[in-house]
Amino acid sequence: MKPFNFLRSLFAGLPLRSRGCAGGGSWDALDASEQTIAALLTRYAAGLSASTSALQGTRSLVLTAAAATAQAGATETQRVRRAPRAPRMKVFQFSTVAAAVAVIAVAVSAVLTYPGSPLRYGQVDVGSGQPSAGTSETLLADVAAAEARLGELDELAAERDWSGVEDAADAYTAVLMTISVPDDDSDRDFLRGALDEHLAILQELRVDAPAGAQVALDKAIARIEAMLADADKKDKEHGHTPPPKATKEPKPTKEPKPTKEPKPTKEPKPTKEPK
Amino acid sequence: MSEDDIEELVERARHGDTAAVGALYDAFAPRVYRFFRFRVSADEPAEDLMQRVFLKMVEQLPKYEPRGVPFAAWLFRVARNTWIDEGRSYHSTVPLEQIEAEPADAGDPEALTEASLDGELVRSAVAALPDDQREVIACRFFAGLSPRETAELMGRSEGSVRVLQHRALAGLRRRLPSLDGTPATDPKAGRA
Repeated sequence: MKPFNFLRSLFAGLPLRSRGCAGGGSWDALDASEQTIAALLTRYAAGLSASTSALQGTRSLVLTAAAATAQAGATETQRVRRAPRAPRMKVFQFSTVAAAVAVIAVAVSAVLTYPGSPLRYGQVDVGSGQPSAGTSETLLADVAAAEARLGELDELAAERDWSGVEDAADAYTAVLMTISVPDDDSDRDFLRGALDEHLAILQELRVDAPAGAQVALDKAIARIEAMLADADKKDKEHGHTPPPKATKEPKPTKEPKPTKEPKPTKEPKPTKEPK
Repeated sequence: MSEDDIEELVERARHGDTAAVGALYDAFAPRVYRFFRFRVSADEPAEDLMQRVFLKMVEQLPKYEPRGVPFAAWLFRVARNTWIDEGRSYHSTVPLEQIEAEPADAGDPEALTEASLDGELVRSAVAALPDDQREVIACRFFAGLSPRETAELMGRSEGSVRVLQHRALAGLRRRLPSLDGTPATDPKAGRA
C-alpha cells in the first residue's frame, strides 16, 4: 500500500468534523469524491423502480389482505369487548375454592343424610327435585344433559366469559327444547323441581350479565317458564296437586325458660316481747 | 409526506382503514422495492420480497406501537428481517472478483459516470462492503431513511450511523472509479 493510501485509510474511519481538514489539502478531494459517490448512489437508486403492473398487483393484494385482517380484527375486538376473560390465576383460584366447597358440601351432605345421624331431620327438604324410582330414564337423561349445560354456563359466568355464557345459554335452551313436559305426575314433579332450581340460578346469573348474555339467558328463562306453565296446565287436567316447593323448615322457636319463682321474702323477726 | 402524516395513516390503518393502508403502500413501496432491488440481479425477486414485506406489514400492523420509533424504521426492520430470512436464495450471483477485475475506464469522466451507474458494478461494490456499512448504504440511499430512522433500525446511535456511512462511502470510492481521473484503488486495501 502506498503511504498516501495508508494515511487516507487511516483517517477514512473518522467523521468529517473530526478530521479538521476543511481548510484545504488532499482531504477536500476525498470529501468531494464521497459526495460524488453519494450522488451516484442516489441517482442509481432513483432509477430502480418496479414495473407498474407489479406495483398495482401487489397493491391490490395488500388491500385485500388488509380488508380481511380488518374484518377479522373487528370480530375479535367485539369478542374481546364482550368477553373479558378472567386472569388465569383468578380462574385457578376460583376452581380451587369451588373444589373445596364441593368436597365440604359432599361431606356435610353425607353427615346430614346418614341414617341415624342426629342432624338428619334438620336438613332441607329437596324432595320435589329428586327423581323417584319410577322417573323415566329418558327424562333423567334429558335433565342431566340440561344440568351439564347449566353447569358450564355457571362456570363461564364465574369466569365472566359472557360470550361463552351466551353460547352455553343457547346450548342449554336447545336441550330444553328437546324435553317435553311428561304426562306422568311424578315425572312432572321431578321436572318441575329441577326447572325451579334452574330458573333460580339463571335469574341470579342474569343480574350481573351484560346485555348480550341477558338476551340469551332470557330465552332460557322464557323456555323454563313456558315448560312450568305447561306443567301447571297438565296438573290441572289431571287433578294433581304438585308438592310444595323446597323450603327450609323453620327452626323451632325455643321454649321460653321458666322464670324463677320469686324467693319468698323473709318474714320479719318477731320483736321480743317486753319482759 | 411528514412523519406526523405517516403516523396518522398508521393509526388509521391499525383501526382497519384500508385506504390508509393503500396510502402507506404508495408512500413506501418504491423505497422497499429499491431496498431489495440493489441486492438482487433481477426485478422479480425484488418484487416478491416487496410483496412479502407489505403482507407482513398488514399482518403485524395491529401489534405496532409507536413508542417513539418512526414507522419507517419499523417497516424497514420488517424488510431487513425478510431479507435475512428469505433473501439468501435471491443473492446476486455476480462474484466479487468480477467487479474487482473490471475497473471502469478511468480516463473519461462521462464514461466513469456511466460505469458507476451500472447496476452490477454498484451492487457488487456495495456487496463488498462490511455488513454494517452495507446496511447503512441500503438504508440511507436505497430505502431513503433519515439518519435517525437508520439508527433506530440498526439499533445504533445517529453518530455511529454517520461514521458508518462515511466509511462506506470511502470504501465505495476505493471500489468505484473516481471522477477526478484517479483510478480505482485496490478494493482489498480498504478492507484491511
